[in-house]
Amino acid sequence: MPRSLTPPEVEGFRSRLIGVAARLFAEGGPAAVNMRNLSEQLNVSVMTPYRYFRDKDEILAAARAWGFDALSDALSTAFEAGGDECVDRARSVAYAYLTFAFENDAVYKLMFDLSQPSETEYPDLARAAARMRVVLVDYVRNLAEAGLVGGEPELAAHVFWAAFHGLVVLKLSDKVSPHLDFEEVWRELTRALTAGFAPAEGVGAGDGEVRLFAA
Amino acid sequence: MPKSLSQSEIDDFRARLISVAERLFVERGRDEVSMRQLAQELGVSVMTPYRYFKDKDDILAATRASGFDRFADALETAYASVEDPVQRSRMVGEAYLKFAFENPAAYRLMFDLTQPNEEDYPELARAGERARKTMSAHVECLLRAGVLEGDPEVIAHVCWAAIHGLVVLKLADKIAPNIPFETLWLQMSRALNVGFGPRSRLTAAA
Repeated sequence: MPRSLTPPEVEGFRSRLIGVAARLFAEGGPAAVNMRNLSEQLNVSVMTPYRYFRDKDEILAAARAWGFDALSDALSTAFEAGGDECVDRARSVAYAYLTFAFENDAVYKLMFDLSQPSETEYPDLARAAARMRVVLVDYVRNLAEAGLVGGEPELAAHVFWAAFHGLVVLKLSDKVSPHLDFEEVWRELTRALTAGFAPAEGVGAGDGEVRLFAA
Repeated sequence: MPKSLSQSEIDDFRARLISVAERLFVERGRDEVSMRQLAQELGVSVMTPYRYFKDKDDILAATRASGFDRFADALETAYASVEDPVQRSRMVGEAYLKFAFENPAAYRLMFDLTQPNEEDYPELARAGERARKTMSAHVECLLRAGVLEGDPEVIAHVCWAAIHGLVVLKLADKIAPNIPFETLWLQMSRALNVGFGPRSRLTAAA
């Protein structure tokens, strides 16, 4: 009969398990994440993961939730550390987003995997994903209050996020043309959307001064 | 000794194999798909797929090439459907979204997967290049008409990243549930139009 574990031991094992699951997923796709591979990589018995998670989908949902929380933390930290100027904070947050995605590409791919089960079955994942959207929207709202972004902050935040995410995942799957400088595409994307959301005439005329998210 | 097949029998079998492969590669990931499973799903002998393809990477390449060609067909049809560059660009954008949401498996294999030694498959390279061209043709058209200004390749990439991001966030069910997709798409298109429009260039330079 296994002895019962202390809470830090449980947490420690859970986070190791999540890390291994994300890596297996990134390397071998969804089918590579199975209890046998997990237990082998963690050097435990095949049954051990079941003491912590019901099945593989629950492990993947926990790994995704961990990723969204870590990304929210990174963005909030960057926002606080970005200084007093809105534009500097924006730059800092954008940089933190890119850094997180490229340094944790296995987790990032897992978080945004296209064939994941509905979040409604995994309330903690739904909470973590919603939290990250709130962080993004709050920060665009902050730019809107400073008169740097026009339009509806929730919509503007989603448009910026989608475009950033699109460029990140194209880069991660090696789809950006090798003739192009990634930094330049990133700067142009930022410049164009910033001009597009400048407040002068709604989603209207551009203002050369504003450089939302500029890397 | 197997009888020799007519061209239409070959084409039929290839099409069936590609449609099964599309589903399996997406469901299981490249590493976990085998020739044996493909044969099983098709109800043919283990050796049959080898009469058409060298190995599973060859099948993956053919599957992706077929996706790129169907995608390019859809975008080229949209492009040719109107003369006005702005209308045309809108039609191409809508054809892009329609293809992605109606063919999510093909879309994933085309744009969300990194295939090793892609350059070993000339047919895939051709179809991929064709798809890329159809994605930037409408941007070049807008540039010629003076509606947009800037480097065509950079603008085409930014527009692609933006629309791709919207598609994959939607497919991953990560967009806030209260936001209508159409509204996001509209705002994104407007913002990009303004952002790459000549007027924004002028104010930026001033």
